Order: sequence, then structure tokens, then C-alpha cells
Amino acid sequence: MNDTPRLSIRGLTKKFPGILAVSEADLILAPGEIHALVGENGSGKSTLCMTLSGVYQRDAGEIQIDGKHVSPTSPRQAQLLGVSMMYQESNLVPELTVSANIALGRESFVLNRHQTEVRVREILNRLDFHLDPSVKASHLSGAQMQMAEIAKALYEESKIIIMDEPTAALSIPETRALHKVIRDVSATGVSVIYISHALEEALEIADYVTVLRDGKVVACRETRAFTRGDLVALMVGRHISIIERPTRHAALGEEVLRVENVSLGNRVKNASVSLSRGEVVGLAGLVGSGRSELAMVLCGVIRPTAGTIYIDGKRVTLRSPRAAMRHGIAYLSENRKEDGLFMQLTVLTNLTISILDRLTNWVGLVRGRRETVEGRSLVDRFSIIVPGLGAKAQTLSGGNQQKSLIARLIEANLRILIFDEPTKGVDVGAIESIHKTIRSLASEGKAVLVVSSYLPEIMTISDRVLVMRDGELVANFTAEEVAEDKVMAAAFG
Amino acid sequence: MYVLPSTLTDRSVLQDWLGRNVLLLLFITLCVALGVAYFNFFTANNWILILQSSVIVGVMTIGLAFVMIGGGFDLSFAATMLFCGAVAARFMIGDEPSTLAALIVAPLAGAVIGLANGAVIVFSGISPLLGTIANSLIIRALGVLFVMETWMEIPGDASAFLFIGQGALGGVPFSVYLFVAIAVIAHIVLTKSNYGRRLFSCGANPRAARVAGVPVPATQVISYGICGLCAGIAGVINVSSVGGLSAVFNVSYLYDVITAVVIGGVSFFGGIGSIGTVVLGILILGVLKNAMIIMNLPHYTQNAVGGVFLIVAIGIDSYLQKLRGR
Amino acid sequence: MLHYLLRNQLLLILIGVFLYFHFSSPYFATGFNLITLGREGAELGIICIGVTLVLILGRLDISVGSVMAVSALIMIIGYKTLQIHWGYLLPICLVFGLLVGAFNGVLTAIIGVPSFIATLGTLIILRGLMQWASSTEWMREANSTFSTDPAFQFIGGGDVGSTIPLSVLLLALIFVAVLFILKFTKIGVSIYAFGGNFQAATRAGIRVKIIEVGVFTFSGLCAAIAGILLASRLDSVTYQTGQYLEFQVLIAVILGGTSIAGGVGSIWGTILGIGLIAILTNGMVMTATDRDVQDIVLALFLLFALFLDRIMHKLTHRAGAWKMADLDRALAFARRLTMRGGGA
Repeated sequence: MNDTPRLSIRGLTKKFPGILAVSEADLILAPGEIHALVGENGSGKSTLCMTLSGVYQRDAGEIQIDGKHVSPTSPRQAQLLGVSMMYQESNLVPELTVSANIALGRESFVLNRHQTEVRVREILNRLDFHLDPSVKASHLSGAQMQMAEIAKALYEESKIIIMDEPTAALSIPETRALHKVIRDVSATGVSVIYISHALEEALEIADYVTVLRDGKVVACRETRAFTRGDLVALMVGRHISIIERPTRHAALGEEVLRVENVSLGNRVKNASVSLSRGEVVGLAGLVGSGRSELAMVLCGVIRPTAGTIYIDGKRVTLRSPRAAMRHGIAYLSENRKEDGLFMQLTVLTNLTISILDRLTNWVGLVRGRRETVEGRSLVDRFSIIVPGLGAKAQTLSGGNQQKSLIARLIEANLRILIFDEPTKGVDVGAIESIHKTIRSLASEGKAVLVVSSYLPEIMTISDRVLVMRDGELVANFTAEEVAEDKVMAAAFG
Repeated sequence: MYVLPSTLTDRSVLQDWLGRNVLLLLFITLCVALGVAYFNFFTANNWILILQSSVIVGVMTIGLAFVMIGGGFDLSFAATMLFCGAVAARFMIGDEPSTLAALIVAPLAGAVIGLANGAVIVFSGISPLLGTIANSLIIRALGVLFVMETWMEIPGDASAFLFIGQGALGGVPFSVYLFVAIAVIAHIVLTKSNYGRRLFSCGANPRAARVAGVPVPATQVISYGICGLCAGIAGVINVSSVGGLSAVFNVSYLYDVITAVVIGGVSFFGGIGSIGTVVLGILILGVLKNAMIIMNLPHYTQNAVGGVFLIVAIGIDSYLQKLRGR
Repeated sequence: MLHYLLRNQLLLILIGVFLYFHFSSPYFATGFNLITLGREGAELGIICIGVTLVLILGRLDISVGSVMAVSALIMIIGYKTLQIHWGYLLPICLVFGLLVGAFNGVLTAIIGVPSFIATLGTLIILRGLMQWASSTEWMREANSTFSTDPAFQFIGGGDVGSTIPLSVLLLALIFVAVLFILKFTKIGVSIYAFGGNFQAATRAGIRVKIIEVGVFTFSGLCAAIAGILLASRLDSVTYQTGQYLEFQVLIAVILGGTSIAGGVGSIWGTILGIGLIAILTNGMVMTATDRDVQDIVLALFLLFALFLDRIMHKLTHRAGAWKMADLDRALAFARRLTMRGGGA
């Protein structure tokens, strides 16, 4: 094997207006190497790869593929150079067949379907994928879509495949199958860049791991040189130690929310959860295990396909989030851009949208002064850094946006709060204050459910820890008995 | 719409202010240019003409702005205007004319039509564009079949009714006062009321609005009702100023309102818009049309120029959106 | 599978409507009327094929009626008033259609104007042109004479082999050509991909801007061809020519199974839709239906088409799980919370 690396990135820098997304990044890939890229949100992982795949143009630095300098100015060019990227969003055209999707962009002018299908079948067989090429892409499951995308990368005869969160929508067995495929593929000499938030996965599959933080490469070593704790520390910049177990400040109250045998298609299977006043319940599990879906069912965002919901012991149907709020349920979504904030509207409006009724006089007009006072107090209480209450929400940093959402939720003064990834994208200092807030909510007698992918966080704040795997609730640990390895074992199965 | 966020570009304060007030500047430039070119531009008579001819389009533009801010779109207002104008005329013609009934029932009919229209669109989820076009055909056809005749003339002695469109207070046409009142009310509702906040949230991010507890479908349907109400009022003003109703469907209202709303900075995607800029948009359109009249451009050319202007206006807007990476 | 069901329904509706008119008017099912119907249908059909492609992209083109009108205008005034031989006028009309289509395409693809507004603007301008032209002396002169060249009349009014109207053959020709392109060429796949998942199409390297401009240009061309046929058949043009044509076209295309949302559609279905609309409009005229009732009927059909389309759209995203599709995306976006220039 010659010594020329398959990929060599040196000093790559990419700027956006006002933001230095990637700074002086180096990355070297040997043929057939599986290389994991980890880091928090905003660390530059996706940006780095999108620069490589031609979506963005780099501002500085050089890229060499097999020893040759390259400068892909479009995704098409990058493909011709042998780089293909599998994105987080589905990149398939739903109405086209699997075969047509795989060959998309690579067809001859007059289509030769037969030849294409032969080639596609050959690739699918090689990968041991059980996919029917003549099926429409809209009929595929999440895992099958992923398989199709991998097949597409191979069809294009890529030398470098970049996978951005490939297992986000996959179950455990599907993830295992995917990992096997990745190993098979890399054995043929294809190099793989594996971006993932699931550190355990990255450690399992990769030969090397690069950690990014704030756009810079902070470490790059062989996988076996890392422990998970090391990775976290590097990603975050300091060691997170497990804080002492929470002591219950108030007595555990009566049960307020209970769901029984709730199902949502095949995302949530027969889950039963109970929440009582004064407790914080953590919901752990791998991405794709159904935690967010369960949360959405609890908050009225989605109607379950089966099961019953009880509030204060009485059966209810939650038709909409508005109905859920009337029952006292508040919901913080994990997608603050899609389901949380109104980017074009002012910070003040974002803060007060859920409590407008409280601020409205009998004519229907909002009491401006009261609203402003409310807004200011919220900003102070949660230390939200804003240019002004009239600034548009999109001008806030991610962390402050998240804080605004939390503030909005808490201000609504509801008694059951469901947070999905409450500290996503929040700076480390603020994380602790959010944790404190959550604990104090419980001590005020509210019931809190926190979904989080960050185990130390769950263990810090929860009185009870539930673990989901593949849509099912598989474990229920109390604060005393919970331990990281137990949770991991339950989550991985 | 015309705000180029200074966080995205390195611009001086002056450039930033310019970006924010493009509309006003455009308006002033237009007026100055026309005033220089045509000596009778700045006469009181001419300006009364401008204002008066802008009122009907203006009221409907405000109505459409509500719908668009909420994330929807409505093309049926011209048909509703015609329908409600006919309803008003009906009450004024015949043995027992009743100005009061006309003035109450016509706008009310508009609101009802608007609500029905909105309900169909919002609850079925079909494209507002095409759905409201279909509804407009139905509205107009129903109007012609059941309410209208080819020409309905308001009796000359119905002075109260005719005052609305033809009367003046202190030299300024009464309809202009009406328009100002409507604009003020609309502004208050949009910026200061509970409903207005909700409407903006529906347009800015309907998913987030739902999660935040805003009743999205109801809010949007009401916005269609407001649009219908405005169309109804415009219909009354129209019939009153003309002195009667002609069943000929003047499609230029559709184009004018859309042009005005686009110039006025209301975004097609929802969540952006303000009455202030909408009024400016209406005035700019009015000035432009006035200019074409002064220049003695024939009718069809006016329409064509209107089309060009629409394309230019939205072309600029779209291009700016693209630059901003929407 | 659902499309198949839908098409069967369409066929039934078509037959039902046909029978209704057959029993309502003695003149409807006559050979003469049916031939006329065929010609009207062919003109409508050619435009529909162009618009079908636009809709598959997920865009709208509402300028087609006015393009057809102006194209007919060029033919009529050029030939009858200006005494230019129609042989020279044909390419002028076609180029006109291409230019307007390209204009629409550039506005939409490159400047980013929403297609509805862009084509609306074009419509306004062209209608203004029609209004002006209708008031001129040229128009009066053109409409008071009859064309005498049988070759001219043959284009839109003649039959090949005395049975099949030339325009119907033309439609068949265009249909086959477009069918080939859609089903058997890279361009066809690219068009479907564009409408089905624009981002995926871009990332696959498809030249999306060229496709968009090209499709709009083709739509303009089709409208121009229809205008030529109309001018030849009717031998006159008024400022009302082609008004409301846009709706007829949309109803035909949407009922034929092409979705407003894009990515789905077939011109086979469009043909059925064309048949239905042609029968409908012809029949309504034959039964002397009130103009306004005609409007209501058309509007109701459009609403029906839109509802059906919407229901189909929801169903094909898998029962109850259409929210799942959202969830997938939501999950995938879970990691992209910071909007600082494009995600981590």
C-alpha cells in the first residue's frame, strides 16, 4: 500500500458572515479508513464536510485527494472527484424507484433501465442489502433509505463517503447492520468519514477519531486511545463530574400524568409512563429510540395510535398542544427552529406568545407596558443576552434562543413540564443554571420530564430514569440505583 | 421586506437606514420626479384624485395583508367586493331603500363569505392560490345569478349612502377618512392586539405556533374573514362612488391589490408585514397610476405597465430574499 | 395503485358527463360536433401537456391562455390585415412562445420570483397587449374579412385523410415526444426529481436552473402552437380569447393525476383530464348553459380536483404516518439547532 493518503485536508478555514465556522482544520484519511468526526453543535463537523463535498467553498486551506489538489465548487464536481456525502435529511426522491434514485444524476441521456438495474442489484448484493430496486422510495423504512443512500454512494464509485448522522433514524439492529456494511465497504478501500453525536457508536466503528470544538480540531487519535469521557471532555472543554445525587426537597406528590400502553406506529410501542408532582423524570435512550415521539404524545403534538392518557386520574384526549396546555402540560421541543421559535418575530413576542391571554385586556388588546415588564423580568431571571426586547429572535445565539424558549415555557406556569433536550446548544455555564431551574420546578411541586441524550445530565437532575429502546420502555431506575453502565446496557440492549 | 439585516452584511449606519426605508424614499423620489415633470402633479385636485382612486384598492389591500401575514393567500376578494356591492345596491333599490341595512349587511356578507372561503381553504389544506380562485368564480357566479343585474343604479336621492363614496369633508373625500380609519384600526389590531400577535406567529412558523398553544386554523380562518370584510366595505364604497353597480368584473382590482401588497412589503411566506408600509405601497401604486393618467396613457397600456411594475417589484423582493438566503 | 383507481374514476366521470350532455342536447353527439370537440380538445391538450411538465416541477404557469391569445393575434392580424404569408408567421409565433416561456423561466429560476406571480405578471402584460390590439383598426379589419387560403385553414381546421383533424395528430405527436422524454430520458427523470425532492436533485448534480427555464420555455411554445391552431380554426380573435383557459388547463392536469405539490404526474392522466374538460366546456355551450353556471361548474371541478389531490397527497405519505415523515426530518434536524451559517 502506498503512502499517499486518500484524503488530506490542511488548514481548512470556512467563514460565514459573522461566524468562523471552521478554522485551520487538518484531517488525513488513509484508503479504507473509517474516521469518526465528533463535536457539539456548532463545532464545525458538518460545515467541514460540506466544504469537502462541494456545497460550500473554503476560504483557506488545501484539500488533496490521492495526492492531487482539488477544489470542488459544486456537489457535482465533488462527486466526479470521488467524494459523496450522505446527509441527515433524506436525499431520496419519494416517487422514484430505488434504482432511479441510486442512479440519479448518473444516467445516460437515453435511459437504460435494464443496465442500471443490473448494476444496482450487483451493488445491493455486494452489500447484502435486501432491497427491491423497483420499489418506490416512499415505501422504504428509515433504515432502508439509509441503505439506498449508501448504495448510491457506491454506485457513484466514490472513494470517500461522508456520513452525517447516519444512524439518527435507525434502531439498534439496523445500526449494527449499517456498521457491518461500513466495515465491508471500507475493506474494499473506500474511506469513510462518520459524523455522529452517538459517541459510543463512533468509538465502536471508527479507526480514528477527530474531535472538533468551536471550529478547531482539538484532537485526532486512534480510537483505542480514547475513552468516552475523554471525548466528552475534549468536546466540551472541561471535565463534567457527576454532581451529587439530587435530594428531594418536597415530598413526592400525587400522580398527575399517566399514559398506558401508548403506541405511535412503530416509533413507540406500548409505553406506560407515570409522572407525579415534585419529581424530575429523565428519559434516556439512543437517538431513534422513540423518546421524542413519546414526549410529543404526552404533549398533544401528536395523537397516539393506541393507548390512553390520564391526567389527575381522569382520562383525556389531547387533541392539540393548546388542549394539552389547558390541562396544564407544557412542551419544549428539541427542534427549537421548527417547533419553538419565531425567528422573524421579536424576542418579546417569542417570550410572551404562550401567556398572551394573561396580558390581554377586555378589548382584546395586549397591555404593552405589562408585556414589556414581563419580558424584562424573564430576560433578567434567565440571563438571556439580547440586544433588546425588540430584536428579532434570529439574532440571538443558539444558547440564548434556547433560554428564551425555556423562559416562555416556565412563565406559562403549567404544572407538567416536558423538556426535550433542554440544554442543546447552550453554553456550559448556563447549563448548570438550567439544571438548577429544573430542580426548583420540581421542588415547587411540578412534574417534570426531561428527555436527553446526555447521560451525565440525566443522572444529575433526575429522581427517576426511564430508558427507551426501539420504541419500548425497557428500564426504570430510581436515583439511588441508577448508574451509567446500567443505563447504557438498557439503551443498547 | 426591504430590511437588509445589518448582521449579515458589513454596512454603514446610513446604508442600514436606507435599507429600512427604501419604500419611503421611493415614494418621495417618485413624487418629486413627477412633480418636476408635470406641473399639475402637486395640485390639490390631483392629490384628491390619487387618494380617492386608491381607497378601494387600499381597503382590500389591507384585508389581503391580514391573510398573507397569517401565512395564507386570497384571490377571491375582488369577487367578494362585487358581490357585496351588489348586496348593498339591492338594499338601496326598490320600494324601501334602507341605507342602514345596506351599510350593515353588505360588509357583514363580506365577512361571512370570507369566513366560508377561509374555512374551505384552511380545513381542507388545499393550495390557497388555486382554492381561492375557484371560490372567487363561485362567488361571482352566485352573485350574478342571485343578486346582481347588469346595471344597478342607486337613486339619486339616497344622499346618505352616496355620501360615502362621493361626499367630502373639508375638501377631502369622505372615503379617504374611512380608509384612514380602517388603516388605523388595522394597525392597532396587528401590532397591539392578542389576535394580531397570534396571526403573526401563524405566519412566521405555524408549527411552532401550534406547539405554543396558538389556535392556528381558527386564527387563519378569521384572517380570511377580515379580508372578506374589507372587500365588502370596498364594495360599498365602490358602489357609492360610482353611483351604481356594473356587473362587469373588473379584474384590474386583483392585479392592483396584489401589486400594492407586494410593494407594501408583505411577505408571501407569512409573518412579515406592517400597515405603515402597506399604506405606502398603496400610495406608490396610486401615484404610479396617476402618473399614467397624466401622461395620457391609454387604458390597456396602464394595465401592461402595471404588470411590468408587479414583476419588477417582486423581482427585486425575490432577489433580495435570495441574497439573504431564504 | 391509487393513481390507477383515480384514473378509473376519471374515466367514469368522463363517460358520465358525456352521456349527460348526449341526452341534454341533440346536437352534442353529432359527428360534426365531435370533430369540433376533438379540435378544441387538441388545442387545449397541447397546452395541457406543457403545463403538466410545469406542474411536475412543482411550479405554476398561468400565462398560457394569454400566450395562446397573442399567438393567435399575430397569426390573424399578420395574415389577414398585414397580408404577410402565414408561412412566415408560423415561426414568429413559435419564437414568441419560446421567448415568453423563457422569460417566465428566467424570472422563476434565476431571480427567484414565485412562479405564480411571475406568470401573473406576464399574463397582465399580454392581456394589456390584447386589449390594445382589439381596439385598433387592424383588428377591425381582420375580423371583417375571411381568410381565403385553404392551406391556412387547414392547419387548425383540416383533417388528415378526411377523418382525423390535423390538430389531433399534432397533439398525438407532441404527446408521444413528451412521453418519450419523460419516461426514457435523463431529462424526464430530472424533471420528476426536481419536483419530488429539489435538494436531492441539486445534490445529485442535476442542472436544476436549466431544467426549470427549459420547462417554462416549452410551456410557452405549446401555448403558441395552440394559438396558431385556434387562429386557423376560428379565423378570428378577440380580446377575450383564452381568458379562463388557465383554469381549464389546471383542472385537466390536476384531475389527471398531476399533483400541485410536484414530483408526481403523468401525461396519460392529463389526456383523460383534457377529454373531460373538452367535453364539459363543449357540452355546456351546446346546452346553452348560463355563462355563470359554467363558471360555477368549472370552479367546483377545480375544487374537486384540488381536494382529491390533497387527499392523495396525504395518503401516499402513509396513513397516519405523514406526520412520521415530518418526524424523520425533525429527528434528523435535531442536531442542527445552531443556525450559525449552516449547522454543525
